Order: sequence, then C-alpha cells, then structure tokens
Amino acid sequence: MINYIIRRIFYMIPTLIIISMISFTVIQLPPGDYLTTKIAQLQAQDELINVDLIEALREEYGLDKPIYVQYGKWVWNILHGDFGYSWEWQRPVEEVIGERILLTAIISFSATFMIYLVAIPVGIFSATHKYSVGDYLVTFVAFVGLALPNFLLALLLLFLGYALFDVSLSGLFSAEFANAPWSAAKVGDLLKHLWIPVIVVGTTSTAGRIRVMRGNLLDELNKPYVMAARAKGLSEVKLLLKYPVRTALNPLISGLSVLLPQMISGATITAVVLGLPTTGPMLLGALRSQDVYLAGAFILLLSTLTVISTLLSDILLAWSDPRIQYE
Amino acid sequence: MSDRSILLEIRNLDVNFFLDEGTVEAVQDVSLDVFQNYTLGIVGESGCGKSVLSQAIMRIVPPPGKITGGEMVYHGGNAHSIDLVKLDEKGKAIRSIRGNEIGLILQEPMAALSPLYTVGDQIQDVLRQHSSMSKPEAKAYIVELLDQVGIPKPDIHVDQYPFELSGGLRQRVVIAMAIACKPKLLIADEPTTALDVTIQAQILRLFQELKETLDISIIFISHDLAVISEIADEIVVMYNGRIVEEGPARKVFSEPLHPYTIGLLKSVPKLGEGSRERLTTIEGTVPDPFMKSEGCAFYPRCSIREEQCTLECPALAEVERGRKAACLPIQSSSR
Repeated sequence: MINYIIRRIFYMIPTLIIISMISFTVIQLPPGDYLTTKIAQLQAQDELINVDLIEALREEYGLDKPIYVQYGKWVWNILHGDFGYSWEWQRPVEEVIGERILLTAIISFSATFMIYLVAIPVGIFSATHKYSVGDYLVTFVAFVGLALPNFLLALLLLFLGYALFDVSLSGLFSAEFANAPWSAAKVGDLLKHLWIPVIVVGTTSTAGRIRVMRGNLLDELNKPYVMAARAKGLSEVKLLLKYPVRTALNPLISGLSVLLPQMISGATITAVVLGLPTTGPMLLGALRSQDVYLAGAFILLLSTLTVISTLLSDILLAWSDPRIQYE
Repeated sequence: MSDRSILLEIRNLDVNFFLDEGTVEAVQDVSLDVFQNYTLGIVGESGCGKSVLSQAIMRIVPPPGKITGGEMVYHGGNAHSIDLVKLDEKGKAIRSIRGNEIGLILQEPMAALSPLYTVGDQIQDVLRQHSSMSKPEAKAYIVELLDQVGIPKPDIHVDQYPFELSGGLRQRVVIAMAIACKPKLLIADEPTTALDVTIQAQILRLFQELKETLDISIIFISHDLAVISEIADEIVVMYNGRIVEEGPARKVFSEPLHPYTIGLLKSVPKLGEGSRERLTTIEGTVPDPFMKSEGCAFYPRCSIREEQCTLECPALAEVERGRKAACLPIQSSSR
C-alpha cells in the first residue's frame, strides 16, 4: 500500500509538468501579449503611450524572448516560490490569489462534503423504500435539482432572500468584513454566507449522486450475499450498512476525483452571479487580458488540486475495496 | 433412526409473488415434516419453488413474495413451539432463530459471500449476533470451525477474501458460516450444484459427517435425484410449487411412482449400462408460472394422463405404506 502511494505520487510529477507546459502555451496562443492588450486599451481611451516605457517593460519581463525561454523562467521562479507578477493587479501573483484559492477551496470542499452528506443517506432511503411515496418525492426533487442550472438557482435564492427576508445574500462577507483582516468574527461571517454558494454549487451533483447511490444500492440489494447476511439473523440496518451499502459506495468514492475539479471550475458562473471573491471570475479576467503569470498560476494550482484529489480518491478506493490490486 | 421427535411441521404453506404481470404461486399447499437428526431431500427442476420454500422457512422471501397461508411450527429444543409464519419478518424473534436455530446455505458460494470482507469477518457476524463471544474468542473458534469443515491452513484462510479461495473452499466457508452457531436445522439449497464432481463428493461426505457429529437435521435441496438419494432419509419431489411425491429415499429412487419423478430419473445419464440410446427427456416445458389450470399442472407433459386429470388438481395422498403421490391415475389404480 505504501509503495503504491509513493509510486502514484511519483507519477504526478510528469502529469503536472505536461499540464504546466500546455497551459502556459495555450495562454500565450492568442496573438500579442498583455502589453499589446494594454496599448489597445489606452489607445481606445485616447491616452498617450510612452513607447519607450513599453519596450522597457517588454524587455524586463522577457516578453520578446521565445516562448520556451519564458516558460523556463516561469517554472524556475515557481520552484523558488515566486509565481510572477500580475500586470493587471500590479501586485505579485501570490498576493492576489492567496485568499481566493483559500476561499475557493473552502467552498469546494464544503460543497463536496454536503453532497456526500446528503446524497448517501437519501440514496439509501430511496433505494430501500423503492416505489414508496418518499422515493418518488426524492426522485422528483433530484430530477429538478439535476435540471436546474446553477446560476438560475443562484438568482432564485438571491431573489427569495431579497424579496422575503430583505437581505442581500450575494458575496461571501458582509460589507464590514470584506476587506478586514482575518478574525474569529470574520470566520463567523463567512460561515453565515457560505451556505448559499455551497447549496448552489452542490445541488446538481447532489441530485446526480442520489440517483447513483439509489441505482447502485438497488443492484446490490438483490444479491445473494444480502440474503445470506439476513439469514444470519443480523438486524436490517446493520446488514444494510455492512454489506450492500459498502459495495454501493465504491463508485461514489471513485467519483470523488471527478467531483472536486468540477466543483472548482463549475463554480465560476455561480461566482459571477453571486459576486463571490473566488478564483473563477479572476481566472476568466486574467485569461481575457493575457495576464500570463496570474492565469498560469491559477491553472497550475487548480490542476495540482485535481491531480491530488484523484490520488486521494484512488487511495480511498484501494483502501475500501480489497479487490483492487496495488501491483 | 432412534429419535423421531418432530422439529419442523409445515402445513399447507402458500407463497405467492405479486408481480405486475400477475401472481406467481411459487409454493402451493406444501406440507412436510422434518424430524430431529434426519435428512429431508427436496428435488425438482429450476422454478419448482424449492428455493422459495427454503427462504420461506427462514422468513426471508424477497419482495414481492409473500407467505399467504399455512403454518410452519418450529419445535425448538426447550419445548417451545413457534409458528414461524406468524412472526414479524424483521422482528427479534425470527432473527434469534435465523443463523442460530436454523442455518441456511445458499446456492452460489461466490455470490453468497461479500467480496469486501474477509472470510473470518463474515463468519464472525453470526457468532457475535447470537453469542456473547469477544472478537478474539470468535476468531479462535472460527479457525476451529474452518478446520472442522475441512479447510486446510484455516489460520491463513480465515484472513483471506472470498475471491482468494477456490470454489470448493468457498462452499466450505459458507457451510462453516451456517453451522457456526450449531443450529438444529440446516437448510442447504443446491450446495453442490456450482461445484465439479470430485468436490461434490467431498462436500456430500462433509454433510454426512456434520449430521453425525452435530446431531443436526438437514433439508437438502437439489435438482439431482441421485445426489439426494445418497444423503436423504426421505425425499420430497416438487413440481410447479407443489409436492407431487413423497417417500423414503431409497424407494423413491428405485421405484418412483409419479410420472414426473420417473421422467426425472430417466433423464439422468447412467454409466456402465452399455446402452447407446439417447437420453430421455421429459416432453414439453415447465408450465408458464402465470397460467393457472384447473387440473394437474403436469398434465401436458404426462405419459399416463387421463381425462379426469384436467378437471381437478390432485392432492397428495398415500398410495403405498409411507409413500404419497399427487397423481389421480396412480391413486385410483392403487385403490
């Protein structure tokens, strides 16, 4: 098992190198660079452009060099803890993204947690009460959840919050905490706002996973080993949880690796609608203005998260299903 | 057979499956007795209701199946008699009988074990449910138990997963699980069907040994009359949910009465008779479970059918001393 984990961690390195190369290239693919975009903007506003200054900047950041040189410099700096400089924000990248990555991670992990916390018991209920009123109700709600786009749900909740309770549910913080340093009160304020994005981001996946859990468990419930367990005299709850539920969980565990990146990227539109200070909107902006180092850092961090979550779910699955061989 | 006190009395048991397409009468009007230290063989082809009968005794008939009538009186050791039909399917009373007083061995040894838990873990369930054994005590006992059912190196196999064992070993594990709490009655549903012939013989021998050492009664279910006649004291032949013939094992095997039993025996290949004849089959197919007829269910396939057979369904009646058959022509000729 230890060997397996070490080997898997080792495999992550080439994956990440390839991802970083591709993302760096793709960000640079559109003609021009950040400075040309900037010049175009300034020209549009009829401002004077200092050509010498532009050229000096271009040289300083190596934008006149071939792309592989730029890439090499970028990676070299990252290995030394320097993610580069965001032109758009006029600050080092790590300063700009630090908090956003944290908030994104908080929302994604909370949503993932909520998805499983809701989907597993509801799926179990739905399967063990097949074709009952409760099952039909769950199925109906789940299908509505699947069909409803995230952003629509976000708008709906915002509207309801405003119309019924006269509160603004957008954002992750109240106005007084938005730019305040971290404190216990700020964390409390975050928790107060967190549930809306978590519900919005998690609903579709929760609905999907309820269906998956129900379907898997229904398959397992008719297996002879369940009857065998019943013939031992075990109580219904005990035998359900020990035998069929455990087997039915496996696809959900392997689904974890897909879920986390989905949560992270899927939250973008929601974040725009809800005005959340997360990575999604900022990444979108960075890509549009070719703010290379900012976009590159985001993509690299998010893909690292994805690769790690894949590894985690594989380890979990290997731990939970003895049929999986490590060799 | 010194001890002929009765252990389980089944009277007029009906089990129906209520499906969208209609009702399937899987077990109809079945009555039988199981005595102590006694082996009852139940024979019939697939779909005759023999597995459902075994599930009914354990009260684990899967939905949409339901026991719709009859009684099953279980006479436990300490003079208490319970009608199993009246018990709540999920209640404590029936759960204290399952696995403890009555053990069940399911058909497929691979499917009857969960792939996610070790052999020892799955046997431990039943022990910890019905006794106050601690985990280490249970484990030591399970190793002993595995040894008793003829598993070599039981201390190693106890920590292995079912998929790491061969088919024969898995069947022995399932048997060990069923006898772990020393039940009074062991129901074995096709315990040798999934195994090859040499292993079959070993498992049959194991059942004989268990019966002698554990002083246990066995209901042995199979489609193979030859296998059953080797192990059973008495044989019950089922067709389409009903008992069509009942009698002492040797007699039923050597001089079958009911045309269905005769057909079953003829369809088994025999060694060393030098005959190059084709194997006889029973004409026709198993009746459609949704079709209900007034008369005998075997009528369309029967070799001795008469006009009267279409009119009424024959009841099981004694035609010779200790032998019963549900067949009108036979009953009328013996009178």
